[in-house]
Amino acid sequence: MPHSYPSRLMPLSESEIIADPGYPGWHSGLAVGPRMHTVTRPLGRELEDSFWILEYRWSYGIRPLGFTVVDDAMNWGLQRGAYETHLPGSNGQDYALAGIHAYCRELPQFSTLEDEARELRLDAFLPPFLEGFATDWGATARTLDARGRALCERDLNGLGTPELLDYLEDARLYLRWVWEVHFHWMYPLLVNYLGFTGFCEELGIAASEVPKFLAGYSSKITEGDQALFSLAAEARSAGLEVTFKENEAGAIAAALDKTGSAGSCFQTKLDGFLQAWGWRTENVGDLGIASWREDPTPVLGMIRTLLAKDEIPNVATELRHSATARDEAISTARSRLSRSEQESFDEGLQALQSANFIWWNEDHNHYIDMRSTIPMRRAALALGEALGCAHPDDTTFLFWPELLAVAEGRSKLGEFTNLTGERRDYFAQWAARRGEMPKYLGPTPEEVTDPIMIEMDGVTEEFLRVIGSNQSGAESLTGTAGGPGKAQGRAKILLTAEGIHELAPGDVLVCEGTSPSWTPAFAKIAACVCDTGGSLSHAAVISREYGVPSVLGTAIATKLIREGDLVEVDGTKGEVRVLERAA
Amino acid sequence: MSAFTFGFDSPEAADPQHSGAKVARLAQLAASGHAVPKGFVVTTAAFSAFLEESRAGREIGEIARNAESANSEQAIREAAAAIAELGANATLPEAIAISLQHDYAQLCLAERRVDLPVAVRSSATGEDAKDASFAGQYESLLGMRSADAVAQAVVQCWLSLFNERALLYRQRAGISFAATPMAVAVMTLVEARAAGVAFSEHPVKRTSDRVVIEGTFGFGEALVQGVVTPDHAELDKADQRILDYQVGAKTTVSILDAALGKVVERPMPEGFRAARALDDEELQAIAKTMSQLEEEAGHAVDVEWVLPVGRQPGQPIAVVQLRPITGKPADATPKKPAWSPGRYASKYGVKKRTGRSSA
Repeated sequence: MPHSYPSRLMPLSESEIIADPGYPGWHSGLAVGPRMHTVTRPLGRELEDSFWILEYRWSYGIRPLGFTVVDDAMNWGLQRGAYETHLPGSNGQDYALAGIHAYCRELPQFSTLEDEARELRLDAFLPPFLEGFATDWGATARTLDARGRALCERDLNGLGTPELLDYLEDARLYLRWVWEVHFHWMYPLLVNYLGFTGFCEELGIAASEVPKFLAGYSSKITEGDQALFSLAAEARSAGLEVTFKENEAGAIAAALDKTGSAGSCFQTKLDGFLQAWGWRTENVGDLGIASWREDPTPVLGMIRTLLAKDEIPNVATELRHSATARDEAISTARSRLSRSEQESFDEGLQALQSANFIWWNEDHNHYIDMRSTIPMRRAALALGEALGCAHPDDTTFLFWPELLAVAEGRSKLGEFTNLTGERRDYFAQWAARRGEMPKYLGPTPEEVTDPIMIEMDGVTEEFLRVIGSNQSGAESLTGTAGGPGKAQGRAKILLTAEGIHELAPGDVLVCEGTSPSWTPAFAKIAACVCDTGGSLSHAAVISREYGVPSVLGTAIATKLIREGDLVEVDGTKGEVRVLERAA
Repeated sequence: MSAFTFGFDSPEAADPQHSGAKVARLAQLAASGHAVPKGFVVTTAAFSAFLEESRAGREIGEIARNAESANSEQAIREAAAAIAELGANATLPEAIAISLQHDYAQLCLAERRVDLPVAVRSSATGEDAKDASFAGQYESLLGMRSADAVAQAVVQCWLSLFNERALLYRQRAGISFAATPMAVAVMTLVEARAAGVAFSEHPVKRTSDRVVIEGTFGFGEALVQGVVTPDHAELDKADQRILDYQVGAKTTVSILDAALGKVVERPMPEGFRAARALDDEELQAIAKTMSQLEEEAGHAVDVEWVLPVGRQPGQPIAVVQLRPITGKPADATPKKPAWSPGRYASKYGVKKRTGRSSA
């Protein structure tokens, strides 16, 4: 599939999407849930009722077996999290597909009576939840790790179909459970964080200061970063820098084999690293993506990027810097408060630091987002082998009830041979059209109310205003200020993280949104502009960390900016200007 | 001493019936040891005598009474114009003039200055009352340095009771001028290096933990009339820490024009516009004084202050006017911010649908 935008693509028309019946062989009987409010399904006429946003995280598309991920993570996990949090104003989000591409909308709730009832419940629910955070999350994280590791590491070699069926069911239970856990924690921590931010603004403290109060704590992600940095340092001290420099990421493993004892010694260290940190995928919740253990190319690519720098960063030093910056920011904020305001501020800050959303939002990625689909992928591939499929991943082109039927022997694999072929074609056709997918479908509302959509995905009122108005000829954009600072450079428009090796130092990255697999790009770009993303999105957090100016939630950057345009990004004000159009 | 004038230090001056609210408060402040300029008050009795005994006064009184009973805006506008014309040539009744000359001479002697410049400020009864602040509506004249100039200024203050704004205001409030006789303060002019206002609680948020100070270079007139953006500071009332200082774009300054004998507005010299008008010690001195004044008053106060030319650190600031903070909102309890996860999550963490009721 293409990972850059061909110039001037005509977006797919809404009528083509409505006419799409979904994967060959799809019927509503395959939508087995679990069900909170909705299940994953083809969009069809529903696109006319609501405002739908293209999900940038699943830019590779959803396979039939991937419906389980969309269901468990979003239509079940997220909606359940909103329900458990007693979230006023919103019932979470709803996911449906146009072809293989996921779109989401919010599930609003309109009853003011219900809102009042939820406010009362939230008021009762939140304080004990927050007080228990440190203990409860610690225990949850240990369980997540133990259960995840046990599944990831279970030896599937030589297992028969019945054992693999058990494993598949375990993998599904695990998948569903980790996403339940995900939103069970995310919603309360997020609304508490937003509440405290509003409280700070009442006290005259700028909202942009609040993330600083919560920075500088070590998480599973920073621990993993340090392990990677140490590995890069090993490569440098073993004199392997040239091997990394002269080969593309995919060719490094083979090249290392030819470097003799230095190379094999490094391979041993790499294996050690993968033992500890390798149960991780580059893309969140994507069954099509291998884990680092299965294919360590992304790791070698990251080491390659690190070795291109004069100095490999040190996590402990960086954490110390952000901790110092944190203490300074807190002390500056406090110095502008009266004694009685300080008392309330201290109370809120202490509660927030012990139930630290910014920290959790990193930490949980290690246990949940980057790992959730690995057992399911392993189960599907192993079943593919055991059942004698032409391609081991044929099983990912079966819907969950179909795969169960085959594994239980209720259906013959042969019944699906043609269908999986047709579905592969369907997948390939729609994957090729990713660049043509409209970013937004249906009527644009004035506001959405789901806090995850607003703060993480950046669907603010301004964002919706921009979409609702015709801005096609505009030379400037506004959005959420992500990383502060100002920079200019040539625009490089990317559709997926696979294209990040095409970025030249000093480029301005323009994309739909970023996830952890984009992180290495931030080491070389001058600035970043995204269609989506709020103040708490991955792009915002990572650009602050790397000191890269960024503007997020611009709604139409990938449409307005063209490859090669000279653009200026003001990440302090949240403004982007096209200074000069590419020839 | 006649009943037409009282020194600030006489017990009668502290009686608002004779002196008006402003002078009465200043006299009370002086009695409790605060730095208040020396001066005397031309009493409400003098005002009544002017209305009854001078020809101009009698005519003014009659026009005003007719306008009040006519009860129309048009009638009031015409009455105000007529009174202004009469007032241009009005003089003090002789007995009052003699009393005023005497007290001005005594004030000069007390300050040991032959041509002492003074401020002449109206002090109406009913003005500054807790519920119906009528701040800044009546005349204040500064820089008079002879008994004749003071006498004219006193008449100007009296006449300001009958200007259009004042007549309309009282008509709406249903108060007759007869119920609010005007006293006039004549006090040593404090030459201002800087001046401004201060509030012993936040005047908008009504939080009681901060003293809010606004100030500018020179006299306070430009600030009080709202023609300059002053510097804005907030201090912790408990320990006088400076919590905030915003420098205003001060493009206009009120200075004393010696030739005119008046305070006039001039463009602020370039270098002063973005300069801090108040240093930390000055801010803290004002904040401390505000805490004391509030405690003595037993309620939140709003003050006009002056930093006299030549004031040294540690010396007092001059208080030239004090009022209770008025216009208390319906929710009278000053809000102390209190952290509550549920309340703030509901307020800021989630968004409720707007523009649609239940469906």
